[in-house]
Amino acid sequence: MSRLATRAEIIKLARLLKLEEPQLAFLAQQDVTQIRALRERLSAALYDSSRSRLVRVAAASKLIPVALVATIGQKLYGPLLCARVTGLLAPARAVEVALKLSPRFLADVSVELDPRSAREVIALLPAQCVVAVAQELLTRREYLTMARFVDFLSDVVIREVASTIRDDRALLEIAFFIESPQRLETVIGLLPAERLRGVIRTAAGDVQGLWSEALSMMTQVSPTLRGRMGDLTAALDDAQLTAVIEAVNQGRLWGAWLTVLTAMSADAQRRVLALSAHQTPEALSALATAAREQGIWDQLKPMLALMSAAPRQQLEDFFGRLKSAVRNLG
Amino acid sequence: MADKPIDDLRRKLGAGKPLDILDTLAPEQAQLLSRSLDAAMQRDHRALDQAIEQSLSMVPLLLRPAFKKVLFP
Repeated sequence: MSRLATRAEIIKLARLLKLEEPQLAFLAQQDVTQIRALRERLSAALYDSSRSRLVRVAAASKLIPVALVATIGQKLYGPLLCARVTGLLAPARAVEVALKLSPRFLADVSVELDPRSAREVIALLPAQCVVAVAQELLTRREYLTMARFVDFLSDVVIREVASTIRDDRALLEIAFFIESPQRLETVIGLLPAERLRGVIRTAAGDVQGLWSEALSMMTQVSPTLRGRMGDLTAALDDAQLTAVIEAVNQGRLWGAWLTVLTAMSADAQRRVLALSAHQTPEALSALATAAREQGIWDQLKPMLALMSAAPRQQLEDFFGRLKSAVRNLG
Repeated sequence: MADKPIDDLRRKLGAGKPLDILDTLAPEQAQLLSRSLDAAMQRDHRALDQAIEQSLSMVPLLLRPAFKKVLFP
């Protein structure tokens, strides 16, 4: 899970500093909370460096009519500066200005805006306006930007926006970037069961590695919801489920997969474990290693009873060997 | 000497909770972050100065003195 969350954080940091993701590859081994803290401090430093001037701009804007503020904002200030000033305006006035701007320009502003600096403004925006901006962001594939706003929008508005997103892939990519696990839980909980099934099916059938995003989403939610999503995964047909296991193997995502596997119902676990792709020595060895690393061999144990004799024995052997190797090291 | 880029970055980030991650960065990594932050700040300042200057031309003549007074105290 943390590997995927770390990648999401690196992407956000790269965007803030106008760098390419590979330039920040050196952060890949860092703890995700540390990268997030670093990003937040960099963002604050950037914002604070022009704060005094921005405060003056916000104060001057009070002297002129809302329509003129909107015109100056759109024609002269541009999205970056409007984003920086937004949080310094009185929220009600900021909303008045926003309603005079086109969804296209508001989408530009959203890309640059730190939503934490304008949480009151965002909360006051009418749903219709948010949906229009979301549509614009969606056509630009600005999934990261959309995810950043999830923490600050009401459930009602989120449900309205989600119902306009027809593309399961887009929904999954947005979920990948949502920062708060509690909010992610709420958003997924708002999705109808059939929609959630569609998202999982889309991820499983994707050849460009979308499964890692799906897995990231599953590992961040509560065990109950994770189990529900795990069961939906287990209900995929053999070819799709095999593709999932192969994606887990290729992405070395066994740790995350094990978290999902242990949350599934017994029937779903039986189905997954019986799959030939899950019974290769490589898969079993990776599973044992993940169980060892996460210290959850005890959770894996009840699943052994669901496996046929040969793979079960192999898994136990792998784990036994890992345990004795660790003992010898100690 | 080797810790100079890290100290520079720490200074630019200002006071706040200690950031353990900074101690794990190599000097060239801290330098990349520090320089990128500087570049982003410069971009912001340039754009803001230019916009403030130009916005005066759009404000009605009657309001211009008051507007100017707030912007350039």
